[in-house]
Amino acid sequence: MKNDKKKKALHTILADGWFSWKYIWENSKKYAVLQLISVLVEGLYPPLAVLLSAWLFNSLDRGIDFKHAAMIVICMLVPLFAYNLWGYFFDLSLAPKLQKKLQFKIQSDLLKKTCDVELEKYDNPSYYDEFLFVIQDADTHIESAMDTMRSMISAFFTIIATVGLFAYVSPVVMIVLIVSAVLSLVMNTKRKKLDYQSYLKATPLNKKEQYISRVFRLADFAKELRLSKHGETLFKEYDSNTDAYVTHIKVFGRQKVWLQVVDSLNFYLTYLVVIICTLHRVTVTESVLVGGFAIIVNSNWQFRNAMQKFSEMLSELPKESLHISKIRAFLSEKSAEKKEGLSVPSVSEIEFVDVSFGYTDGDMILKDLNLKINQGEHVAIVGCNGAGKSTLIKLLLNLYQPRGGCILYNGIDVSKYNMQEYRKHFGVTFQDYQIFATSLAENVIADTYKEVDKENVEHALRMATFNEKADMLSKGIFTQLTREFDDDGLVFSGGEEQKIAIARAIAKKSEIIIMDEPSAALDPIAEYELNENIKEYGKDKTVIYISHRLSMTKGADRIFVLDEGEIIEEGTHEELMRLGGKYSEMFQIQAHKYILGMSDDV
Amino acid sequence: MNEENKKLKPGRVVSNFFYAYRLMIQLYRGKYIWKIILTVCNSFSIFLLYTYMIRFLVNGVQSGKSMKELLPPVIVMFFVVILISVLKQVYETILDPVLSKRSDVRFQKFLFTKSLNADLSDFEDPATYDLFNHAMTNGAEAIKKTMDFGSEILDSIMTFALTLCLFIAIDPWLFIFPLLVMIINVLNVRANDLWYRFERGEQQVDRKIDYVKRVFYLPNYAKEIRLSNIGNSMFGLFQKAVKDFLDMAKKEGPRRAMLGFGVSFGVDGIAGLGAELYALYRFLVSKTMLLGDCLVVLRSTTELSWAATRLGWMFADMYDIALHVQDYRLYMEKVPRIESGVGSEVTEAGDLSLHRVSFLYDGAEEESLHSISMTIHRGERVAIVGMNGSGKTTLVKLLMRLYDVSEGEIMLGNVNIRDFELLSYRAMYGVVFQDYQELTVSIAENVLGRPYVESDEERVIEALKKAGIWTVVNSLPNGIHTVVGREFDEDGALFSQGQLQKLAIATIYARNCEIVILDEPSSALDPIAEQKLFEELYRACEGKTMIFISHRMSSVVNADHIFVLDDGKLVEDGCHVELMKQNGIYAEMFRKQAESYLAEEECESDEE
Repeated sequence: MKNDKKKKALHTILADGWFSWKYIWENSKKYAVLQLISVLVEGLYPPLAVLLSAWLFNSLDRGIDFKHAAMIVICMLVPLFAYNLWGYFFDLSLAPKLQKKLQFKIQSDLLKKTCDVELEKYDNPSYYDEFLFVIQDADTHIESAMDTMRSMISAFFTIIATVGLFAYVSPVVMIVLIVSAVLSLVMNTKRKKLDYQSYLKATPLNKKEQYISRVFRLADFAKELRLSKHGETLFKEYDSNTDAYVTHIKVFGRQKVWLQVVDSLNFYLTYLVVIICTLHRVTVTESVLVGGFAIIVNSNWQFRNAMQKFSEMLSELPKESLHISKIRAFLSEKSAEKKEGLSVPSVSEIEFVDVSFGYTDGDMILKDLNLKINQGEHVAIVGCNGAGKSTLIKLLLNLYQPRGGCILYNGIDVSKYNMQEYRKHFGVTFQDYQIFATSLAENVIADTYKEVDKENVEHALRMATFNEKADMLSKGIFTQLTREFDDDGLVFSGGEEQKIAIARAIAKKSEIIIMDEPSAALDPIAEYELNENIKEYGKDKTVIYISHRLSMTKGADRIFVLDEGEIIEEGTHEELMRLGGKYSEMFQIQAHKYILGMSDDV
Repeated sequence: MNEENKKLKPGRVVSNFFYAYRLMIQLYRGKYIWKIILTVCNSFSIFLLYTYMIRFLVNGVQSGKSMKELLPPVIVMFFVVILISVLKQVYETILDPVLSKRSDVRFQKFLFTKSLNADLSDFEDPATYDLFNHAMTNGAEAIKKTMDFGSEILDSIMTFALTLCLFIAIDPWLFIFPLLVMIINVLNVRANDLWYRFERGEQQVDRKIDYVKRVFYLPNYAKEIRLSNIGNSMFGLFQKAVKDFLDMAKKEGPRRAMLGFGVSFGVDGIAGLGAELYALYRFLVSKTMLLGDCLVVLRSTTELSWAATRLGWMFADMYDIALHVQDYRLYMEKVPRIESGVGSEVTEAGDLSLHRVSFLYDGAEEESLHSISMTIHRGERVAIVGMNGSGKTTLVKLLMRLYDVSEGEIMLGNVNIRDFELLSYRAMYGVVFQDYQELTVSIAENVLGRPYVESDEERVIEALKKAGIWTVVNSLPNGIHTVVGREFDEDGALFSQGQLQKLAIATIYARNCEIVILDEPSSALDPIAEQKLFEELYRACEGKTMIFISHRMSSVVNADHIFVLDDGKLVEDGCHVELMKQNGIYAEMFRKQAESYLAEEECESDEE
């Protein structure tokens, strides 16, 4: 990502910071106000504490009585208690609640927005990387941008206040400290740069390490590792990777150690100078009281800490700002997923007119494709792997837009319709269906479950031949699926999951049903039953089938044979067999063995 | 693993720590010897710089010493501190990273070996797999954390001990105040308990939120999200998770804050104030204490309460760490059930025979396989057929000794397969799954299934030629040494699904396996590609025993012998003709699938 390296202009950084505050202000005024109070409390308490202890020691040096001294000590406790009280209540009681609410708000905004991202963009790796970058931790980024600013401001307060205190002890000390602080800032920046370089260099090494560890950990590889000696190969790779890693550490370590040593010399020698100066002022010129020591010891710590925090945050800021810029860009992105548009009538016909499409500009998967499907028809699309069958479906659902030609729904270009409403007309079982970590019922109904859905869910499960299995579950359709966050969640086999996906398409009660390889994981009996059920259920619906098992598609009213992005044959099974083309070749290859097998039947 | 029954007794917490330390001493010795030395030096130098030196100076000034007298000791102190600091920098930037890396690798390898020797069932049973994963990730991390924990404790103890010594040197009575700090901090145990519970609760909530986020941003869910309202259901989950959190926060928040503040009030208001007033009294009224001592006492009480608080936090962490170590320990103490036989390596494949073999998955009530007896002759083509869940895959796993039988025995020739050396026995098998799991190592090593040595070149090339992929491989810049996949090598080769399948076939040639198992290798292929695949597989398996599992009955017809499983029992066996005659399950399945094709035959014959 080039953007990372580009220096961020100050005004964009400020604009991004302003955006975070504004965003938080708009969504939770209470949180924003409390944050501001925190800035003041955190920034001003430390120097105040130093000031109070200096007061005490100077008073002691001047000689006061016990009663007064005790009064001062007790007075010192008041701000301390106030500070602690605020700290504990804010951090432990107020902030967690407000934070979580804010997190919910930010995430909801973003997640809703993701539904508008065109699917096509997911295939574009650079867009998707950015997208992930935005969405994964957006809530933390907005908050940490605000936190960073907050820490910077409070550190700044502390720095100013401590410098003032030093000035009281001795202006020389103040100057020495400032010089040393600047030096330390420079060293810090250098170190950061070096760290970043080192991190970049180590990335491939880390990737390899993670890969190796993944192979040993993931179930996908377990069988293969047990049936071969791949383990040895990976150990060998790991060893050579480690050697490279150690060399890398040494090379960068040698550069970095100088910076570190110089930085710590800077720190200790400055401290020594400060001590000597103070000692001189106390013993020789006697212009400072012993309380000066108290100031020095405490302030030196605080000054250092504040400086360090400040410089750390300073280097964080551009990074944070980058995140925020991306979030802002994402939120203001215009989407082609239309929410407005024509309302969608019942289907009477669907037509592809000269449709061409490719995922990348170069190779077209569909070429000037024409086909027409009428209401109530059962059509099948068959073809070799990679012929473009699933792509055709994605275009029909307007998940992708054709690059050429158009798709007509009742004679009107589908892109003119209200997209959400349009998609409601389709019930689809995808080849790569997904199971969600919620109840079986919600997996089927694909929405928040309500009591009225019960019948629908049960019907759909029956149609998908899953009802027997569902009845056997102790919690029935309310069984939690997947072990994502419930250790008692149920994990089904591939065949069973496929049936749930089929039930999902049926439960949608849409007038068009699309089944993409619905029976790949089913045994012959289940496949047969499913086939019968869908025939029955789809009697007056439009059904589009994709399958390699030509026995499934044989009964269709019309079969389209797709080859290299074009429809090469079209017609009923009988017509296509008579044609003696690609379809009849495929069918005969598949049928051959069955026919042979059945000829032995008695 | 419910949260509630995962409670650890204090004894177990300590014992888990000792368990971790024993392991760490074995693996990380070099690193931690240095770490201990430096921790001690570091706390010493902080004490020297900020406590001892200030006392020395202020007392010195007060008793009227001149700058000349005071300066040399100060410089010596600085010299010591700087020396320690330089040492620390060298350690932190070079020595420690190198030692850590080396030790981490040792630890990782130890874990990997454990994973390699683990039973396959560990990966397939969801509960065990969870445990395994926790042990490998969080568990191993926790083991390492025990050491940091140790050095932090050491650091706090050092600070405490040094300050205590100084206090006692100034005035033995002062030691009451650190003691008071410690006692008040006992309250922290309760605060930590609350903190810990809160943390756990939040983790659970976050797990749900993360899941919802993932569903929205991962491409595999994108289609379903756009076509259904499942998003609503996911938002519902999100909302409920947030609500759960808010309920918890409302209840716990004020309590946590009160307790936290209470402890700090106690420390500062009672112990701190007490020490300060006592010191002031001695300094001002009885005049038996120097100003420097007084200053040190005031400063150190804050320091001590810090150290105590930190110590308290650590003890809260301790439970959490012990809990993770517990997962690790539970998993590591599990002995793999499948052990290598002490007998010889497999010299020659013979007939495989099963005698009354039964198999019961852990925790299952019913046997997956029940008293199966069958023989697979050497060189035969055998098919195993049955409905989803009938036990086909389990049977094959038993053959490969990925699982061991619960009852009965499996013999290769006249030897029980348990008596063979495990690796050589398994190496006898070649397996083609539906999706070939290639590794991101070189093509040669993928094909060989072991590290490549110079003399393998010919064998690899021969295998690739036979599998019909040599021309593709040969055209790659690094030939057979090209890495498969671009995971971390820009020059890696990307293969199409068809090419990967050919690589899988090449493994059958290259590995010299005697028995080849095909597990639904073609379910995602179109009819033409399927036919080609089978032709190639038959060629590769010439003379070898072949066992295949398929739902497509057409690929079964030609088998020499077909075994039909139903509900874990062997119900029919024989060749296709015999089974069709028997008119049982096989015939039913076959006819169901053939029905439509058969109608075709009629239609064709009509035309003739």
